[in-house]
Amino acid sequence: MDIDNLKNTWQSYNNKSEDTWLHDVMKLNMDLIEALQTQKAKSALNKMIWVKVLAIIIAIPFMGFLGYLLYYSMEPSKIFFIICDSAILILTGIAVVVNIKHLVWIRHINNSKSVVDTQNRLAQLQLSTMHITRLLWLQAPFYSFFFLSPAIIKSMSLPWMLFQLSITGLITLFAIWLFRNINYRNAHKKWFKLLFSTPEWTGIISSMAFLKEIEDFRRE
Amino acid sequence: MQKETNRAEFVQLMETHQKIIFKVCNSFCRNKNYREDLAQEIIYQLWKSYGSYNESFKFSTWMYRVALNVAISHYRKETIKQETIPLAESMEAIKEEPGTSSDSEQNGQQLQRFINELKELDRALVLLYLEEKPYREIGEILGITETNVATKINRIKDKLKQRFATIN
Repeated sequence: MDIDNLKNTWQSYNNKSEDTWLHDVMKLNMDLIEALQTQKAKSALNKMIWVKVLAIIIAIPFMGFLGYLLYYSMEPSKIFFIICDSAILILTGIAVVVNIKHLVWIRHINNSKSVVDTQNRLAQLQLSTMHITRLLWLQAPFYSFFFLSPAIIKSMSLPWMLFQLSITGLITLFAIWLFRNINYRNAHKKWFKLLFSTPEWTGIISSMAFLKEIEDFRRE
Repeated sequence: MQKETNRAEFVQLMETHQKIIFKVCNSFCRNKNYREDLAQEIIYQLWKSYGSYNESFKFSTWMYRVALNVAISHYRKETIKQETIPLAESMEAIKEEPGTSSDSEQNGQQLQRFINELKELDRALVLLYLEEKPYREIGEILGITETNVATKINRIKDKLKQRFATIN
């Protein structure tokens, strides 16, 4: 087929194509379409909204609890607890802010914006779970030494000290590595697929690949 | 009353531009059974956004933006679910019709099949190109520059040329 003739082929093919199914849709009353689609939109979008709202509802009392513990721990002997509690409090706070930002995004998704912008925003939104996961992994090291105090450290034997240091060090390195590497550029790698192979991550991984496509598409 | 007038005006516009919905659905929905759903969703989203339609854009430009956005999102959801849909069912839409089709019909079917093989954004681009939209308008719909549109169209044409060469 002559490639310059593509447009004619396309037009004549579409003019001959059977479009009776569309006539059936066009015959539907607008009220019915509205009712059917509102029902569908409720189930899909609300799921994401509810997950985020639930996360915020759980995180806020948790932050209150951490704040309460922090307030009553302000003494030099609890320095490690103060550091860990504050770090977890800050990271949870950031996660709450990110969740609120995503809820605002959901409200402002606009299909009449350009295709690249809207799809980019939708894919970013689907990746929000991943961003929160990355952030929450950064909390992990602080759970490994919050119970220490200067007095405990003084009484530690060398093997115990080395054990504590290696555990905290390894968790820290792992958390930082995950934070830096959980992104769509690594979605094709084996370790990534192994870590995130559950069904709920399939959509997220597909969004990552799509974001890469959008990035390539924008590039000339 | 105003809402009723808007609704009548909207229905009229949908009837005038229904081919846009038809072509977008054909290019982004592999399964015939889901095409009606997609068309309904597009019409609903168009209706939802109709109040904020900016008249500085051509109606068809605005309609393509909404229709393509809804179709791409729908297609991506469908692709993720794909693993649970039997292959035969999912391939139904791109099956060649048997029997008496002419050369031009066969070319048309091949073209539709090759378009369906492209990535979502390339597919949207080629659809607009085949609809004879000017590069500037394609850029406005997709959100990329005119030069980028031209470069990509040339690349896709080369790809299609190669695909057609393999079947001839």
